[in-house]
Amino acid sequence: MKTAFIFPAFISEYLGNEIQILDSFSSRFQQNLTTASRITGIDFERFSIENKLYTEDELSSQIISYIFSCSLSDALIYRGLKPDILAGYSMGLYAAIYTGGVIDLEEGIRLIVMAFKISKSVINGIDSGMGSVIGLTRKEIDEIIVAHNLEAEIANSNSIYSHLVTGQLEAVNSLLDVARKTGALNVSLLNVKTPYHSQLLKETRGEFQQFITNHIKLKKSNYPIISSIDQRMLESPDKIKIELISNLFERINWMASFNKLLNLGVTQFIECGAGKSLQRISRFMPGDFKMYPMNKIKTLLI
Amino acid sequence: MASLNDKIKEEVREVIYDFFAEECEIDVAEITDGSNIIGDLEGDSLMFLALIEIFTKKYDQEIDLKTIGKYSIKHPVETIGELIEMQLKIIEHGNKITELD
Repeated sequence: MKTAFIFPAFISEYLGNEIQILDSFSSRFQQNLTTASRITGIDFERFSIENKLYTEDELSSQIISYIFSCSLSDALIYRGLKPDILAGYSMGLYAAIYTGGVIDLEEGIRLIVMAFKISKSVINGIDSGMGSVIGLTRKEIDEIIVAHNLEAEIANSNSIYSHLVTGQLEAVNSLLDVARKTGALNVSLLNVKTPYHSQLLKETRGEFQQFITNHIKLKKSNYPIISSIDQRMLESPDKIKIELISNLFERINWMASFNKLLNLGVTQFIECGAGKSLQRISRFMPGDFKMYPMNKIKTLLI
Repeated sequence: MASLNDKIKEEVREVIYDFFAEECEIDVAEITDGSNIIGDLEGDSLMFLALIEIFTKKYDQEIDLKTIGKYSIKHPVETIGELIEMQLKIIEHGNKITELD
């Protein structure tokens, strides 16, 4: 039986008792929040799940998500539950490479902050965003984009009928509108103003590459990591560096990553993070496997 | 398409109630036909999709999802009762559901 640790990107919905669960694992969650405060200048020590300041601000939400993921994976590994393989969903890549020992906690926070700053600088005030389309295939969405000549693209496929789209805000809104009229079961604009996995962010490449080269000491991963972009196995610092850079602007395919993990013999998935968004997505994946979001993990440790 | 009888109606209700109880980690007794799927149960549209897949397999139907999507624009589903009603219509009328308007 193989175990994969999988890492969410943003937290769209909390279970509500994540902090208590982490405390019961004796994790370093509070310490890690202090570290994040020191590096970013944002007061994370006052974080609470109910406080919208931390959940609605894009950068804060991403850092909190990273801290939850790193704190949980550390606690699990310390208690003997080790992964055979790792996969990060979108910006969950940072927590995946932290868990692999490629970077330390502080480096991960610096990477997130810098990726955010460079992305903001590249889009330079262009209104942009991301959306969700449920009920259409990838091909059907691409056909809408072409037919309406929209500055939008598919960012990620969660399953055959569940996708994220990204691009200029007006184009994303038009795409969602046409998709709904075409017969999508549901469309929604996400609370994300950065067009992740969009070609609009391609120009982040040079500056982010330079930042990583000069400031981040990438090490070989202790566990194989699946690329969300092309499902290659990432272990060497060079491959991981390319993935980090490309992850900002390349289309990813979570469905393909999940299938790859299943084909590699993974039957146990640990959702290392707050909420259970990856469990919800996984219900459309065929195969005999078990998903453990944070509130179910304790059963594995007893 | 299948003609609806009491057995099918009861099956659909039971599957939907059990599905939401499991997915939302609550007791089935806490769910009523008036429960708001998003507001009360913290459900999501992926659950609607999952249920369509479950019933499509169960009743051996070939459903064009876009037809359901178009129908749901005029007939949005917010509560468990409305979801049961729509699911029964899908089972009964299949892709001809839009002809009901």
